[in-house]
Amino acid sequence: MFVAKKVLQLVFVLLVVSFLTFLMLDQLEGDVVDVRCGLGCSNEQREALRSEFGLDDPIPVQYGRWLKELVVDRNLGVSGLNGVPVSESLADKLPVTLFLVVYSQAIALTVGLLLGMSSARKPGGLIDRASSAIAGMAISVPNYVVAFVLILLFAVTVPIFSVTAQDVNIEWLMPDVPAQLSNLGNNLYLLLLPAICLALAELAIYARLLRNDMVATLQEDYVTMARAKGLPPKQIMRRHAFRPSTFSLATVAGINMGRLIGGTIIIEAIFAINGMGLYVVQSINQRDAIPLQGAVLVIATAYVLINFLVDLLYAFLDPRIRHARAAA
Amino acid sequence: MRRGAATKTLPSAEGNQGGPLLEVADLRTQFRTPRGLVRAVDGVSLTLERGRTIGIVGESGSGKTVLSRSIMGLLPRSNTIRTGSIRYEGREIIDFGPDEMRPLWGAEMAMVFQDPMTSLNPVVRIGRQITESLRLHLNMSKSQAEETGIALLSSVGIPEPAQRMREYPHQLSGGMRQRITIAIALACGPRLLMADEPTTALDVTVQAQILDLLNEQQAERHMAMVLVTHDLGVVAGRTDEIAVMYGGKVVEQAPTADLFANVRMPYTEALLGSIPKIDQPSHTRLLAIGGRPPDLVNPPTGCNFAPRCSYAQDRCYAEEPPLVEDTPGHLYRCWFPVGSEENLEIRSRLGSAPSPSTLEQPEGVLDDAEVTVDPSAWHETGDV
Repeated sequence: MFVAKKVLQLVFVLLVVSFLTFLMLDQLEGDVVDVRCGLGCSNEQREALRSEFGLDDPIPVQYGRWLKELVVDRNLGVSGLNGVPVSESLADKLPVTLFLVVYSQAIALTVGLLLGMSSARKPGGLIDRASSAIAGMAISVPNYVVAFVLILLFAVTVPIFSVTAQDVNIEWLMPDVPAQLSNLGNNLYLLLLPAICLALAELAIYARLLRNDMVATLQEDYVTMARAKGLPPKQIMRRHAFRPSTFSLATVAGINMGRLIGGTIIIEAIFAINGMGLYVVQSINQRDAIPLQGAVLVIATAYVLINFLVDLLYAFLDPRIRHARAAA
Repeated sequence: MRRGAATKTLPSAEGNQGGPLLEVADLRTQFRTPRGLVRAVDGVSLTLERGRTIGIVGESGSGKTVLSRSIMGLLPRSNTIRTGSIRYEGREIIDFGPDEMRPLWGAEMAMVFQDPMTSLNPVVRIGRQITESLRLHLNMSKSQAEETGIALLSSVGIPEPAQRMREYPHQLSGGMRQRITIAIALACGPRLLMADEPTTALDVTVQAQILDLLNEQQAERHMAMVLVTHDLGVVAGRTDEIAVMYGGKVVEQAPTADLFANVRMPYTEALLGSIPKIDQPSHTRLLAIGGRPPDLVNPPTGCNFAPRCSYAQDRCYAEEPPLVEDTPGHLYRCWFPVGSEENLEIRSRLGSAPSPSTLEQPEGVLDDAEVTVDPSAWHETGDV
């Protein structure tokens, strides 16, 4: 029941999003034929290409054709610019972006949790005030500024890292484990700077969010009760205060994950990472509707899917939700 | 065997078997607030013998909850000033910080909180909540603790205890949850139990059951108990002694039977008068004490209760009455105590009203109308 509702929601979201994307692209000046031909085509050639791609049909017809091909033939189509199948491009770019997003979120969550928890133990204390000041800065400095500073420091002045991360190679099927690990290590190394750039603002938000919720949780009777049992502070923080303080953190982290999958464009551009963000922007610039549709579809699906996972996470975090759902 | 953790800090504990379990002398607990210093507990002295029960009675804001938490050292330390003396097993513990109190908490002294809906952790299984102190203080293995936990649950009257161990608090009713918090408090066999309004948040039908359970367990374990309540009816048959608190001070204290037989303090009389009586016709207006509890930042000069007292005279507003002993063990704080000639004279002047409260317009309800000191609203958590 719960899953069925979510699937229905996903289908609805995808229909709306993909149609709006089609509509938006139509509003822009020029089309993919202009981009493909440049100045080198005659008007007849342009018209021929347009009718070949079906660009002279009204928008609802174009959309219906795309939808039919997707649903009936399970085919995302090909780029109008160079004829490369969209599914192939996505298979190339999505793993890179996913890797980067998960990597940066892992950094943000780890550091954010540590910072948030140690701040909450003594509100107004040294750690709390320091982390609050750092968070303020991390949130207010745009990530592309951070990116250039990090590149300057750690790739130019002290060249520990490489300036670009275009060599990232996400390979799922490696012959053996050592090769897989060394490839993973290499990817982690190449994407460290971009991941930090993406993580910085997020980790500041996570730290403050967790800190505030935790300070509130520590006022709860059950925390006083845990103290009255004589439990050591560490155990109280870990076993009694942490989990009830993570609900809004889970929500925000989930939203961020989804947002980042299509939103890493600036960082991808700076570090020359061949990911989803660049793919989307290129498609828009080239008025290439079919690849854009594919990318938007993937991003929206990921967004809904992640929200679904967050819903499952709530149930894991709070047994009350679990039982309410089981009863419903 | 259960002394394990506690003996380390209380080496002299066993040597003090003769003395009282708990001696509180001139305890003052003050909170620094933006408004000024709140005198939540203002010079309270109590003595509690082993296995005995003392009832602390007062309306909201009288300082009774702060008193119980203050004795246990559970209040946040920053912004709280605690002076006076608290001797537990003959040992002065007023200067003990959380690190020194921790071996006592749960093992020697335990607490049952007012609201079982909020005092159990909603995301932790009952089994874990009951076994964690067993494992900590009594060094039990996981299976030992599990077994003891089940035995504890069944001893507080919980059906199917083994199954309950795996459940979460929200799966149980309020009465059952309070039984569980009692089982948790009793787990390590404490010698002192603080019960802070243990039945206030419960249905009337289960209140008596919970109080009976507390008394039963107390007798069985020879455990001393401080029973904090706003309801004189609760403490009437269940305590050896009662201390009535008003504005952070003890205003009357006596052995239970003596207090009810021979009320001296007008405030106690008014509290008794506000209990609805079964033989009154229905729809009789309940007697309330008009006015509100005193401001604990700027307490009035003279007697705290004077502004609300029907018998108050000029002297009451000028001079604070001392706590004087009437018959042995019966203390009160009043210039014109109930039953005295002066009081009778005032009464006859007022038209011999049987109860003081009928003379005043009730402006507020007695209970929970005004929260002057609420430690849970305190934004400090530093001492977890």
